[in-house]
Amino acid sequence: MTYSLQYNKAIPVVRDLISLAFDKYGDFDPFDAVSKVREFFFNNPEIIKNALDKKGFLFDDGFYEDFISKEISSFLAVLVMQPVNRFIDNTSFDFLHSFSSSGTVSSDFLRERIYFIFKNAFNFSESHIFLKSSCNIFYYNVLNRYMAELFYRQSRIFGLLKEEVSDSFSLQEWINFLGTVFLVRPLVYARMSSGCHLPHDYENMSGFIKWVSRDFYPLPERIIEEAYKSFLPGHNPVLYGSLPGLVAVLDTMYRIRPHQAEYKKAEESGDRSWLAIAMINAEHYSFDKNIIEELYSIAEDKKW
Amino acid sequence: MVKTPLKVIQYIVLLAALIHSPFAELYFLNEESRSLFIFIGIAGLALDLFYSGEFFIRSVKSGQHRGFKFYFYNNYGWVDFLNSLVMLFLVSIPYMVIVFYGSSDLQMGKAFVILYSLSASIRIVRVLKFAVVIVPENKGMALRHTWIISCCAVAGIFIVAFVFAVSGLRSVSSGLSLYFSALVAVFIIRTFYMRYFELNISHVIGVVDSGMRKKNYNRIAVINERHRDDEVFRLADYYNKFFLPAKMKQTIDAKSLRPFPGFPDKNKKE
Repeated sequence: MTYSLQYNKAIPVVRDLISLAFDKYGDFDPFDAVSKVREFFFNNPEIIKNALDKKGFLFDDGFYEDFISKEISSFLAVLVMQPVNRFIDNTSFDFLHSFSSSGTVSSDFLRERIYFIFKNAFNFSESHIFLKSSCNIFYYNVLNRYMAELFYRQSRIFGLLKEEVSDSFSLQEWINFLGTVFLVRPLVYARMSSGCHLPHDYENMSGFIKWVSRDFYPLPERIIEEAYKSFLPGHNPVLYGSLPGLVAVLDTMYRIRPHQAEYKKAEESGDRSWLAIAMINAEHYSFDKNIIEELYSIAEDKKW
Repeated sequence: MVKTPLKVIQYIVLLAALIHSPFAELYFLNEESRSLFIFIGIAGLALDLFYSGEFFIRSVKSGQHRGFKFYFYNNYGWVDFLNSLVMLFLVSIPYMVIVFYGSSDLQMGKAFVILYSLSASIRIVRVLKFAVVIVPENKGMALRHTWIISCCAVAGIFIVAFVFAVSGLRSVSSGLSLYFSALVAVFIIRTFYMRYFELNISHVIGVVDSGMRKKNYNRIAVINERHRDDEVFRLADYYNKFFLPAKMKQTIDAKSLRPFPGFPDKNKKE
């Protein structure tokens, strides 16, 4: 009881301190700044604790670390969630009904659940790496840009996606579909890496999906399936389809926020540079070369 | 706040000085308009006194920083010197002496007329002051190299003008054409040569340098196909083809992409 009261009182003070610490590392990507902020709080616990003690908050060691970790994670979520929230708020998730018979679930409920699923992944530090790329993908509007081009060019990859997923999706529904996969990926990864006794391969996919179905309710299995396949080793378009390959490329491409242009005309654009290097490393990363080639030709034409 | 009005004054004075020089040559010994002749002389003297004051203040202030020697050789001190004291004693003072004493004191007048005959060539050093503004050498490699080329071009034109003056070939039209040639040369070098230098040398090195130092900078350097064999492009090609892919492998661990190792690769299995 005493702890919970102190906890509530300490929250605004600790949040101010976290905000100041994040400001200090303003030049860093927020996800990269997290480790620095955490380091600062955990390397100087006495200073922070003393500062809080003076205000009447008393912590024991275990409680301090747990409390600070949770607060840093939720501060990070607020910091990076803006483009994700915008996507979730402006997206109609009705297309998900075409994958399942649960047509009674309202769109608002779906939206709330997807928001919760994404936010929940912040509690698992191992999934931060995928949260980072998902946030960057929404921040840089990657899906809108590339899916529109793939759609209008009627590219080979797009033809395969239509065969594998749906022939009747509009462009917006494709963007929403891929966006939803990127939103659930971090939590799918967190569940894959913790607690599941099954080895992760194609044969065990349905077992895993059953095991996590409650965490992702009411999302259709197809979404979790695509996210799961994007983490499987190797690249096998025949078995997995093309979508996991595309997801893996986009995820890797936006893991690190692209650097601002510095030398006009002496450097290639960010996406084009990344895709050219990825083509050289395609075998190392098990990337689908056809996907890289098509994305490269788009980036080249559009000077992205 | 304090710097901006000072800069504005400096630019206005520079513009006046650049316009004044050709006018002074054009109206020298203009018997029809003596008042204009005097006005141009006084304006020239005022400009040179302004620049002499500037040189004096900068010399004194340089002592508080890195010393007069650094200012003179590395921070345009020599340009300020040429534009102030040299212009004052070799151009403006002879001009004023000719204006007021030229006809009354024959011997003195003759000496200053001879001295003033070099003015057309000396006035060309004014262009260096213009070059300092549009090609500030302390702001990067490209500007420094452009500055050196600009100085060489101005020096070349100055030598031609000086030879003309000494050999008695000096005329108002040749003086004016050489003065404008220096101005245009500096402008063209700043506009075209600097861009060429950036695209073929300094920016290419900058891209490679940023790629090597900055974690999230992974842009490919653009290679000029016509000069692919140049040392700088050979370096850029190596950076593009070997350094950046290796950097990507180091930055993004392949295991983190598909993070569950030990399971069979379906491609290999089939």
